[in-house]
Amino acid sequence: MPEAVDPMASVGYLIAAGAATVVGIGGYALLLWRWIREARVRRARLQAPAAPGPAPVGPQPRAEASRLS
Amino acid sequence: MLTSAGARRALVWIAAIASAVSAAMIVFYVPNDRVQGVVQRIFYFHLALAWVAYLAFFLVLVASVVYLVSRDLRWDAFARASAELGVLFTTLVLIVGSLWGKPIWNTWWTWDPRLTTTLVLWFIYVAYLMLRAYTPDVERGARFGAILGIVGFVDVPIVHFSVQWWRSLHPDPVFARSDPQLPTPMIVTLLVTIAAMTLVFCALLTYRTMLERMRDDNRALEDDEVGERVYA
Amino acid sequence: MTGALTADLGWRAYARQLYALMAKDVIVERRTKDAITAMLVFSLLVLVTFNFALDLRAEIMPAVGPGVLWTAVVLGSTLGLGRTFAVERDQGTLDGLLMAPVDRSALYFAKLLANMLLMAAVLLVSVPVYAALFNVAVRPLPLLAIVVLGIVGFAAVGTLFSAMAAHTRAREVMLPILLFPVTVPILIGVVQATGLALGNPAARDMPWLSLLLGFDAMYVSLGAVTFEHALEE
Repeated sequence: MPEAVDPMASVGYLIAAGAATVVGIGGYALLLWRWIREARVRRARLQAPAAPGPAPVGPQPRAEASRLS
Repeated sequence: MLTSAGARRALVWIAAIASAVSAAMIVFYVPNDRVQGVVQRIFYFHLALAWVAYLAFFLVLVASVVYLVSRDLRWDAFARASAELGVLFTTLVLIVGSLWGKPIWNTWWTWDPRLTTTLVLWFIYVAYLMLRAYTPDVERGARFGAILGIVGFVDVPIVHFSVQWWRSLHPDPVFARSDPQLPTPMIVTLLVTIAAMTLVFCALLTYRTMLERMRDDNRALEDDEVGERVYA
Repeated sequence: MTGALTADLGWRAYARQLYALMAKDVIVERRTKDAITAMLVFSLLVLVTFNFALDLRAEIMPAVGPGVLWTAVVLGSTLGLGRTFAVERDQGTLDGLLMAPVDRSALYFAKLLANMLLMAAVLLVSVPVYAALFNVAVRPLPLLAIVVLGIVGFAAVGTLFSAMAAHTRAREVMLPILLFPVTVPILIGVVQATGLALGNPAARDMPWLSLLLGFDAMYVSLGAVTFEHALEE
């Protein structure tokens, strides 16, 4: 049986609980947004044509390398 | 899942609006509980958070089974995302529950069946995240995760019963309300809050799954690149 | 799929496979005595540690005793549950197991039975030592069913999880982290049931043995079905 509660004192807990929820979910959403941005940057870098290296000599084995899709 | 960027953004907006509505209802619309007073309003989002956590882990179960059968890593990406979100929401359930318990029972924690089961649940899925993180091989990690995803969720009702029986002699604090039957404004607020929280979860899940698949693709591209550099 | 294989083999052949696999584990264990020694010593050590950590006077033993005993057994057993897999992984014999013409579920049941034997050995030593150290009267017969059901449950989950833990970076350290949360119902069940059997006034009179039986049935089945997925290369 819950004891009688002082309504004013307990507002603090309600606000704290609400804040925890908002910070938890909102903070995670922000993190998620940043991770997605980083993944996009990495994907763009990986998909860009490779930087030109030293001039290859002879036949190009790279052209035959199979791409794992 | 929702593949169009427009649909994803729409989901975010709907979730945001629903959350605002639910918050407004919790703060302004719903009446005070006669016994607990203002602090009882925590109940609405505490229960919504718990519902979403269990939903997340249920989805992990489904994705795990589908993955084991199909071996399609995209289902594993979904499971990974849902498990991480589940741990997030479970953590919030424990924190919010604690913040609710202190003013009404004068204790930060109590071993009542629901809180205890939630705590065990937290450990099970933290172990899931650790297992995934510590298994270097991606495909093996997916299989292990799938096994734990199934074994873990099946355990939940058993844990609940065993804790309930264990506590059967203890007068656990009850989430008492002034009326045994919830008055209509409270029911409506509860349902709106559950709906809003579920929408928020769906939005997060959509983007988190997308992120996992992007990371998987990036990893594959990286392996390709390494392979080409080695064989070039 | 497993069922069809069993039907092809017939029960006698299946039992022979099982026995062969089990015998391999037991023989390896008897030769090295690695796991069993560590498990036994550690369980006894935990019992003694409890004595230092808690004020275990005679009056509170009925209430606290079963928990002390089972915590020591569980901690000691977890040490050994991972060993059979660690050894196989280190020796590289896991692939050989998978290629052997044995029914997949036989692999699981063989490891399960081997682990159960290890746990039984731990209990066989721990219970009398516990009774002696803490001056507790222990009637073995009522405890038998509890012990068997408890062992089956822990070993069922432990065998499956140790197969997975063996392949992680943290190796055997992962096993307790995986095992303990999932086996909470078993721990509660065996401790309460032991308390009831040994006259703990605070033990809850609930159908604990049925709970354990249900858990065991569920997890042995799950283990048998999912084990091969844990072993695949």
